[in-house]
Amino acid sequence: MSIAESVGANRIIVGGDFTYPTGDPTLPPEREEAYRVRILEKSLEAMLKPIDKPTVFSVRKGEGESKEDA
Amino acid sequence: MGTLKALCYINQFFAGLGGEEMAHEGLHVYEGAKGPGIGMEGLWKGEMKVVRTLACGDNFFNLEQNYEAIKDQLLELVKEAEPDVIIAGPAFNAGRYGVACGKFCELVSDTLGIPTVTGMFPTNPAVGMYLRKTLIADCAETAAGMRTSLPMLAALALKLAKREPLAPANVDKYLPTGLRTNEVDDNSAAYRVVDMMLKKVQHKPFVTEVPLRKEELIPAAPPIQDASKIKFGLITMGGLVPKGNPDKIKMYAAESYGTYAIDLSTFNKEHYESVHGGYDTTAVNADPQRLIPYTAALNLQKRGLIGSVAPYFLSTCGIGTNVGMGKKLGAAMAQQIKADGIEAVFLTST
Repeated sequence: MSIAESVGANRIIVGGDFTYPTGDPTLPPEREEAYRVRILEKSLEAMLKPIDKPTVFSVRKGEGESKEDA
Repeated sequence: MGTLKALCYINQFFAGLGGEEMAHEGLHVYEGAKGPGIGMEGLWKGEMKVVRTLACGDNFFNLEQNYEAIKDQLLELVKEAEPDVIIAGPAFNAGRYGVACGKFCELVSDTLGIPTVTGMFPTNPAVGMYLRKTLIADCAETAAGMRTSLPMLAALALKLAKREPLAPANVDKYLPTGLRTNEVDDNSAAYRVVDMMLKKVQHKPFVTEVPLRKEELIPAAPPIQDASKIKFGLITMGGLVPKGNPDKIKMYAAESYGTYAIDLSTFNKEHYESVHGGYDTTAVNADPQRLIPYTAALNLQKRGLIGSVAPYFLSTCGIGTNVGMGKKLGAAMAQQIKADGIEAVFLTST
């Protein structure tokens, strides 16, 4: 169980790392921004969903469409 | 010793003025007992009597300007009656009545130093607000429990009036105040803990001497309806501040938060840093967007997924923060951003 879950935060997004929640310094800048956008998209999805207890929503490491892939 | 004197505070309903439709009623003063005070006098068997009863409508008393207007008059009425103890309620689980009782007790004990007691159901919202200000008897949920609640309230009031020490909360039936008193036990802690352990493994009842703080569960906010019409905010507990920490937010056990405008031309490592004292800040110091994802939020806004994003962020250091301070900061942040029309927040925690 994550700390966020154990203290009762309700909508929890597992992002980069606790030292960089919205990002990942190991990614090249453009891919990192795409990953950051993906984290916010997931957060939005969480806020649109009815929940009744602390719920974790995960984003895969490095997930997100950057222009490099297009 | 002569007969002790109590002064009671009750609401419009228990004064017999009427129900909700009379909640706007102003101050009424009765000489002697009225409502629950009559029952308590019976229980005191002549040791104490109610010399005066004050009553206000709950809505009236809860309006700050009304309270301010009658405050001095209330204190005069109390002083003049020279009571040994103040008794408010019992308010059971009624929120506004509970707040009125708590506020009245706080006023009198703070200003005149007279001991006060009220009675509430443990989940009455006023309990959290006034537990440190007045003694609160552990009462029933509704007035249907008056018969079981009054003896507790009456007994506590009599003890206070006689200036007798109180027994622990579970014995004297009041809500635990969180204060501890030292007492000498015949057995050392080692004996007591082994005794408890033996009872535990035999499934026999035992009472812990160190109850753990109860976790307060916060119900999840209902989902947002149409994100494309909503203004979003950005908050971090990761300690991001303009370089130099202008608001001097503490790096540990912070007691304040800052509000900082975002200008994309300066939202970078040259101008921002994290002062959080509890994690390796190398990555966020290299790029503030790893704590406050402003351009990503603008990306969502451009694509019409969200209505807009406020061009500033709120920040504090979430480390070593006690629950009370966390509540205080959280409530202040919520109030501030709501006033600015923000209805949802991306909040990062480190």
